[in-house]
Amino acid sequence: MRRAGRFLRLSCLGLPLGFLAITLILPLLSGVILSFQADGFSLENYRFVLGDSLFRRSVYNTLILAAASLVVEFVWGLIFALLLSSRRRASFVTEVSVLMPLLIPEIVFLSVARYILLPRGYLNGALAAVGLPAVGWLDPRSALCLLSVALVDAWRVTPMVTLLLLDGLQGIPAELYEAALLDGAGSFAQSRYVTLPLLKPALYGALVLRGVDALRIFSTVLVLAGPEGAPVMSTYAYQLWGDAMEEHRAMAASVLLATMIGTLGAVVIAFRARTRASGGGALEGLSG
Amino acid sequence: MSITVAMALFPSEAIIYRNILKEFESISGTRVNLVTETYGDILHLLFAQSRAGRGPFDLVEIDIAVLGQAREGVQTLPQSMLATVRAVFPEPAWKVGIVGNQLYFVPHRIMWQAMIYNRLRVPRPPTNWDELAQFARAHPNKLALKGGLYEGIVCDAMPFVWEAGGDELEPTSTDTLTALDFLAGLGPLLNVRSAVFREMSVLEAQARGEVWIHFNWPFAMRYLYEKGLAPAVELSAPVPIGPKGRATILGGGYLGIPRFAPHPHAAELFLRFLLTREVQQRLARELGWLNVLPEQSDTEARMLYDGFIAMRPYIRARATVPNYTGLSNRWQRALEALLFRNVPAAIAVQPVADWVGALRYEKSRPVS
Repeated sequence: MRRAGRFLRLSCLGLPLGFLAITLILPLLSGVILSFQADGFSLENYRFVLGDSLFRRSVYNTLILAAASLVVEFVWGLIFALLLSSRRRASFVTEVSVLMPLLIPEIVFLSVARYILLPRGYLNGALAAVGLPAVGWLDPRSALCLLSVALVDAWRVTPMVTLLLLDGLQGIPAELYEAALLDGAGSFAQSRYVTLPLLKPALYGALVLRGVDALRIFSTVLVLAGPEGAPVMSTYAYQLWGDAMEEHRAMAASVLLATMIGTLGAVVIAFRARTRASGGGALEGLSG
Repeated sequence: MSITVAMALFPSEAIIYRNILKEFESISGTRVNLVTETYGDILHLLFAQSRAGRGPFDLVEIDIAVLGQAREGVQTLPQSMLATVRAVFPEPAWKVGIVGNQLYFVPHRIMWQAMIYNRLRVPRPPTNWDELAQFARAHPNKLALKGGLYEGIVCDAMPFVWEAGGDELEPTSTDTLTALDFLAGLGPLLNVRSAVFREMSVLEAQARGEVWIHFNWPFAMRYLYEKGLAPAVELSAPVPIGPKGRATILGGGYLGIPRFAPHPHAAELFLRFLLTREVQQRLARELGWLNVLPEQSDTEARMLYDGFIAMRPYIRARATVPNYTGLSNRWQRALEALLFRNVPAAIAVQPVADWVGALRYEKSRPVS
């Protein structure tokens, strides 16, 4: 009986581990090996990628887009979460409007955004209707193009951030607000001393999730600006693989992107471990 | 018996193509399994079959740009097929399939670029380089090139290089630099989104009226026709003539029988069927392919493809080098620097020149 239980436990552990090894770990290792192949085993692919001005621009754009998108989606997400959790319940229309981007298939959402922002798109059409000149929202390599991509990406993922924060907000006991009210706290003081401190775990959780995801930005850039309009690390690797048919260099670029994301994750985990060891702090609630 | 054929057909094309296959099946008694894939994936399939020493594919369609790379994965075809191919296709088109007097590939569909223009905005399309430059100056942002970092930018630029007497394998020659300087002059006047345009995106921009002139493949006319824009608004015209003549780039897909094909003889039979005049005319009529010209009675097709038909005598194939991708990638970067970053031509093409200098390309490169 005990042996059967042990077998079952090992099977439960072994099957998913085997699945992970076949679908994730082996391709990953194979990819890393590919990235070192160029007329033998060498660093040539990395030398090419790191020396490529387009790659450097891609790294810069990736960081800028991730930062801009995170700021916007957290501000919007918090506002919408507060709106949806307020006692005066938000209307059905508001809820649907906020959450709609989450329900629409990604390619449809991004294609609609593209038609809005094109030179002869709906937005410039609206500007023309009120006598204003057209704006190059998606002009290749312009700052405005980066901003447009960041805003659309933020718009696309804000519902997810909203839901994560809403979950956090709904976990705050109503008694705490009543006690704060009895102590004479106004709306601002309630937000400052009750809502924000207790929302920290949800905020940090959402930040880590979205932070990693934001560095992997791909489809938004591809559909709106093309791999050349606002190159980021993932579209750079895609362009090398698909258009240039340089699989080994594409793999080197992908390994660098994965390393960047992994490093960020490791920093966050290390920071969290340190703050925990010193008795709480900024990331204390991450696991909660 | 059945043969397996991998072709890069669009879903709408595959439906029509399957009807043509049925005719072959009824004549030969051989069933044809049609697998539709992208050119890139078909190349991978070919190499996989070649390396494994076995595989299911009897016939594959390969992009003309990578025939040099694909050659190691296919068998030679019988010389007797050459006479048929020569009777159907123009010389530069069939020559591409020959290396060292051996026939490796036969054209499946050939196409070439022409100028697409908005006839309402541009009643008299530019006929030479001077007129093209005048148009660009008079209408900034209305001329577009497919300037994304892919083969399209090479397809748009190389005819200008050839029309100046230059060559992609002589990037620093005076003639090549003449063409590149001309293109550099157009750079700031091009539609601002030229840096990201590809076949479909530039075509959409043309259809919306954002662009009035660009260069594209025959499928563009079918797209505009289906939108109701051609021939009412959009028409095709020849590529403007350059200082040393006229040229356009040959594109398309070529068929080859993979090494270790399970049924090479049946595949050969299918190839011969495809090359008959009747099937070629059917492909032209039903799919709009320009392997053979539209019949005289088909006035609408002749009007739509007028520019393409006029360019047929001037088609030219890209260099057949073992690693064309390597050459193309360097040209793409050079042209991007030239057109969109104002890098002088001589500096922009230096990496191409370095690559060509180190290249050991095949002696039998077809000259058109």
